[in-house]
Amino acid sequence: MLTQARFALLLVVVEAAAAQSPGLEHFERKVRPVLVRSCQGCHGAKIEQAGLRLDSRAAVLKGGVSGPAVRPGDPQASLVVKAIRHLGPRMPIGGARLHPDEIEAIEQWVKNGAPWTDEPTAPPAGSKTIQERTKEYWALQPVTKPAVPSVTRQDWDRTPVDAFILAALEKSKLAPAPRADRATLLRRLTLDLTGLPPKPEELGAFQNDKSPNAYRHVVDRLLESPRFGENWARHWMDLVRYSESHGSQGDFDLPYAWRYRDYLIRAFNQDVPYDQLIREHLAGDLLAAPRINREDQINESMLGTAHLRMVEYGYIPVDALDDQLKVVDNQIDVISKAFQGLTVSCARCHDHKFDPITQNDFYSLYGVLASSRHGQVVIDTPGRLSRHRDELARLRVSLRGELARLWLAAKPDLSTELQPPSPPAAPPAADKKPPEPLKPDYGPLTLWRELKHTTAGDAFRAAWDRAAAGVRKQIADRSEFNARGGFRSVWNLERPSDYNAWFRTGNGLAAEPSKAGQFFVLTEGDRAVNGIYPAGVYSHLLSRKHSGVLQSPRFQIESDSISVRALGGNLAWARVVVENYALGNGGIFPATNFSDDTMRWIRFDTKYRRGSHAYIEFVTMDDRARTPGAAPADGRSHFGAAEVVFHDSDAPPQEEAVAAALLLEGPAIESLAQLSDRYLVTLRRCVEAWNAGTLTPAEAAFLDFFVRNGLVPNSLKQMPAAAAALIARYRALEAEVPVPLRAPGVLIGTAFDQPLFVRGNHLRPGPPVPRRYLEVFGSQPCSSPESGRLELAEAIASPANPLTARVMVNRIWHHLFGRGIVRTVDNFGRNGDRPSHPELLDYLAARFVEEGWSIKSMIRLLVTSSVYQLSSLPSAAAARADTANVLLQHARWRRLTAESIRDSILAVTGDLDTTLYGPGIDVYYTGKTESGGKIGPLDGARRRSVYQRIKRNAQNPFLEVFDSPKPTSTRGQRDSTNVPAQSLAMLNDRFVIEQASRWAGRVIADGGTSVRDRVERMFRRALGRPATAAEVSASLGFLARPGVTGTELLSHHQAWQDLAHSIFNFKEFLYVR
Amino acid sequence: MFDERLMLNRRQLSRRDMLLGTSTGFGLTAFAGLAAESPARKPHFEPKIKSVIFCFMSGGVSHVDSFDPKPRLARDAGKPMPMPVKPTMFNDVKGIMPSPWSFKNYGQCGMPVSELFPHMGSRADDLCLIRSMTSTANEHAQGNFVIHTGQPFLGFPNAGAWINYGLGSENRNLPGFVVLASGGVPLGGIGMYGSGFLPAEHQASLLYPEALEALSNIRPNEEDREQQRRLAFISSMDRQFMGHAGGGDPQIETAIRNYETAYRMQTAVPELMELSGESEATKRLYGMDSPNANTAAYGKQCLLARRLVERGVRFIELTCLMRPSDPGQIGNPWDQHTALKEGHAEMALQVDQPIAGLVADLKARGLLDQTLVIWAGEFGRTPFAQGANGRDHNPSGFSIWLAGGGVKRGFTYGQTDEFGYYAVENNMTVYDLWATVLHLLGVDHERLTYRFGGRDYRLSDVHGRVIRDLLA
Repeated sequence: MLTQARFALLLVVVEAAAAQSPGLEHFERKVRPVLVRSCQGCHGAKIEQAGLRLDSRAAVLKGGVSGPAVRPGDPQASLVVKAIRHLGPRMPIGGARLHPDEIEAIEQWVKNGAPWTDEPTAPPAGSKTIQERTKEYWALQPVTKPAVPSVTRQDWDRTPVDAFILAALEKSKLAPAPRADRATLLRRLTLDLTGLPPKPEELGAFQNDKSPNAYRHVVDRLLESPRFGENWARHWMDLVRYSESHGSQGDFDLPYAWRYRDYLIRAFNQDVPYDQLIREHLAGDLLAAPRINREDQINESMLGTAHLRMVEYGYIPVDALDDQLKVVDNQIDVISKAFQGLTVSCARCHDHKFDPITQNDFYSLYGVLASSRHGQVVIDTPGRLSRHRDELARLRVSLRGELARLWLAAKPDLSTELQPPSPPAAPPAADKKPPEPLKPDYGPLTLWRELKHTTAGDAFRAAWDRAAAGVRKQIADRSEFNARGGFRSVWNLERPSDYNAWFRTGNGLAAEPSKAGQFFVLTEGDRAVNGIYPAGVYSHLLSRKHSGVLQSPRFQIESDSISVRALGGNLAWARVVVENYALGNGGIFPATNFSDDTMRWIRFDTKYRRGSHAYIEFVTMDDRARTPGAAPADGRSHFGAAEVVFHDSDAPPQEEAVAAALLLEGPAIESLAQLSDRYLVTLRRCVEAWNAGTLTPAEAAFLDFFVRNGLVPNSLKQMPAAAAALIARYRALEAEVPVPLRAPGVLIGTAFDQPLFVRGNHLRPGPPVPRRYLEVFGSQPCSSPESGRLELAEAIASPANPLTARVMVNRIWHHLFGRGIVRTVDNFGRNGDRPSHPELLDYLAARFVEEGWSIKSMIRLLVTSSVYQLSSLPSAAAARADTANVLLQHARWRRLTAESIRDSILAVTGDLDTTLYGPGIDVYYTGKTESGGKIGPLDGARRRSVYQRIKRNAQNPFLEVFDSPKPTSTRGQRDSTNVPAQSLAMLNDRFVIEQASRWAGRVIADGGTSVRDRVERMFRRALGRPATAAEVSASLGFLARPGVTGTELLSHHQAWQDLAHSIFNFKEFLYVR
Repeated sequence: MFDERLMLNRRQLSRRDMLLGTSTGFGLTAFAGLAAESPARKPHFEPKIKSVIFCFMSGGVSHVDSFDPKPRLARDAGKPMPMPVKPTMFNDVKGIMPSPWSFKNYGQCGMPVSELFPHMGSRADDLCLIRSMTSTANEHAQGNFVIHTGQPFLGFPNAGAWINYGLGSENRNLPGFVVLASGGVPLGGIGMYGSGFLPAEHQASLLYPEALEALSNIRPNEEDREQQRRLAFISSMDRQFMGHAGGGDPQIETAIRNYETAYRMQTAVPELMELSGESEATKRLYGMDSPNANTAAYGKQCLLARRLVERGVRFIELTCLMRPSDPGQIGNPWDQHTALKEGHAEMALQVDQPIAGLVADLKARGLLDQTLVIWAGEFGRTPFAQGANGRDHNPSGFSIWLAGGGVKRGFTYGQTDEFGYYAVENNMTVYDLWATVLHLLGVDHERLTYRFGGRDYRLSDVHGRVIRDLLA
């Protein structure tokens, strides 16, 4: 289909075919595209209308119900030609009549003998040589550590870095610029490392530090500042298109995305080695020895994969596979650009045109990524998760004993106590269609209700027989209905083998399914327990705060309906997740929110999705990949699940356990008194079976009914002291059970090899491609039954990978010098730039690995170099010979990033709140947005910009004016535009004006008796240097206003606000040099 | 640079001179500054038009109820579709639904237009109608991105940004790409108007005709005199700084000049929004006197669009206002999955007279020859019913029209099948549409490229043909 982006490289394949024969070329260029576009939708792999496929030569010759579609060499006799000429059947049915050129082309093809090229399964022969050739490409050569060059000038270089730079300068006969003055240097260094300007006292300290290590001390101080992590995490967020929502229509939130941002800040502050960061980003959930944060009791490594979730989904896509392709394409794009500087996503449609990346590479990675599912992960340490676990379990056993004793002694007076039960709540609709009709009630009371007004004697006996026959008929009817319904039981989760074939996470799910008789202790109110469950799997037997994600293996939908026997509450949900589409919540993506604690059948209509791959999931509220609209805050939610059946009929199976059947056991009943006794006997039998752990399904249903309807004592008021104490103790402990901390992540699912999509068209699956990393690195197909993410992580984090270290040191260089050694920081391929200092790049890459991939060490090395400390003033010779300053004769001017501008304003006015971490601050905006959510405070709660909430469809307008990136793909190098809208923002934006006013307030409040003194302090604070005499006098002139005396001026708010506002607009404030 | 002399100049300048911004050294300086950032390119060949006005019908207008009459729908009312039906958003496919409106032939050309659009019908001889438009997306956000950028997701430049990048604006005091935002932002969000990977200066500026501040940050917080004083102070400090920093840097020079442009924009934008100079007859033509507030507001957008064209702005997009009877559909007011009749009637009342008035006014002023008006939604609607009385999305064939320079008038191109479901003749893609629009602007769509992420991107991606049959 022509819908796909990146379709451009089609010619490679075409050319390969053309090399073989002109007939084949004609077929490839003129015929196959028409067959694909206009015919194969109905005559192809998915649908074979009239038994005909038009997707291989054999199929075309074989034809369909009307005979061969093509007679090679004879267009007049070929059905295909007749059909497209509308002589006979008119094709394409319901579609555009083919263009005359296309009809002619197909005729010509038939005349040619209907030649057909088989789909390339391996890269075309011609591209091998391209591959061989490109393997010699510089970026793919192993990193070797070059010798530090020798230079003529001996007094300049402080670090090996300088020698490389100086050698190149000397070759061009240029001398480096002088060292920048201390104020300039401090401002540059402080902004580069922390994103904030230096404080006046820091300037003073540096100016007065006469020790030879003064500069080093500043470097160390800044690297240890928590502000460092905030600044460098933001750089990283550009690489992984950090976003807290999914964009498109609805712009749905990605729950707890901010925890990943905080993870990055901690990681950069703690200098987590870069190779470890990569492992965590690709397989943090799979690491044998994850990184544990003891202070917060969280597993840091789990947070790394969150970026895989920061994708844009379509809104209820009609074609879910098409959407998955876009999502995985984006993941591959980001991973390959961010970690490898490669554009692997270009190979979606066929082999990369420039780089040695094959289409197979794209689909091998596709398999790795699509084998992992999009969901929430729990990041707590096991210790925190198992709090009070053992004691709660013990208490439950004791409580069961106490309750059994109580219930065995109970004598429910049926005549007064038994009220007809209120009808059960309608099962939640699986989609928008009307709910299934309610089944007649065959609960325990059926017989009582039918007989309670019947007098004893023959009449009673006859009535009993009638009622008993009714119950038996009901049992037979249900059994027959289930036998006739064509239900294929696919998974019975009561069976350990089936349960263990599913994927599960969460501390709520036990290792084995539960037998009938489970219950949970209610944590508030007067009732002790909820009821008695049948056999199944439950997420909440100890606490409804526990987490639970239960997912089936991947399967292909081949039935019109899927029914699940399940229960749940508080917005837990059950879904059929189609092609990994994470946001489906009903309609054409079957899902249901649970609000019913009784096990019952729920049917999903899957007709629409026949042929798609899917899995079934049950998850608690906070484990949902998509936040429920209004989530209860206590974190309590639960589900239970028992069985899954596939069927084509439009009603789900019926419950086979009929509680009333138990009452039929024994001699016929002849009076109400006998019936009452039968109830009592049956109840006791059920309680005994419960306490012994031998409940049958009917017994469980019987007991459950009595408990839920209060027919046995279940009220705390009715409890003996021992039982009441147990419950009180249970509740106290349960209250202390922590709600697990969730974060976006990926979950293990069925691993599969993705069929290559011929020309990137998901409607044309080719052969499956084994999961592995890029061929050019000699990667082998993944040997484990897992997704292959771990192997992928190791392949990228390997010291032997020629790109990993090079790409990262180049990024660090880019941020410190304003331009990478390779200028195209995200593209080290042949379409990118070549390095300006290749030996230096390799030296740094080698050293980076040697020093344990330490980012802080690399930054320290670079900022302590002489070249980093150069003045920004070019020599006349350099200005002539190297206008672009590639050789770094002097320092480059750089505009501050959007975040730095906003943060600098807050810092200078003294407003900045340096609180670390937490949920994103809602964005302030006045203009129109689509689903922008709440409007936040104008001052962003005075927090750093990295804490602004990032909604894809409603980003901070002030930051956007200064080129904060749209979170769509890797953006290692930001735009640095220079447009009037920025001037307008600095002049008129309410945030800027408000901050100027606050600064003025502080300047006045801080006192000082001299206007001049205040001006000098403001300059130092904003610009990190003393004001010159001329600046002071110009400022005094600006402050002065007619009729305002010098003393009055000291408290003239507007005057000081005007000055503050003006200083924000100084170019020196907005740029670093 | 900003200095006292310029302020004197400014006082002496007439408003018009200032707005044109080219009659003084002041404007030229600013121009050079911007040009350094983004060279205004010459067209590849002689352009037919200078500006584009995009009347975007967000939500999807039903073509079989507007410009593509299908008698079969009445004949086969209630029957199932006799051809394969593609999956729909709501999976609620009912029988064939006749149009609630009748059609009438208009003009010399005899173009049939439904009674929903009597005013547009009266301009039939100016319209170049395309009945075989197609899109590749079946939901709003993706459909909106596709028709605006050619791709279904955020991150690609809007056609307006491409045009602005390719040609630059003729007026340095106004942005080259303007969205008139009286209505809601279409689903998918404001990023749809963005510049994607193109430099941010090419993104749309949102003008709010109904707001106190028509453009973000355009209203100074102070008296003009105060601001001038501040600008002079800032400028003098910047110059001193450049002096002791050893001459500074070209980016700083540009940044300084941006303040001059920004200063002038503060006058140019309010002047643009000020409609008191327009005659009552003109306002009536646009429906601004309508008792229906939405018609009046849409009319104001149309009039502003003309004024923007007069000022050399390249690309103007108009937004539909939400229907008061369904405030939920703020971003997609044409989206009638239910109650098609009521919803479409309400929307047609909003846009019909204003857009027809715009075409008439452009023509009367001799501007139509250098302007292209595009009327289109992100897709059409199904010929079969959804539920009792709605229609679902249909990207497989729908109608749009063009009017203006370089295209045929009173002309109809392409057709859908007899049910209006699939385009079956001269199928046209979004890429074809933009390739043709670029052609009219004198730009070869295959040569307007931008390198990003290792690839040369085009507005027409790797597709698109100039549809020569449409050219006059």
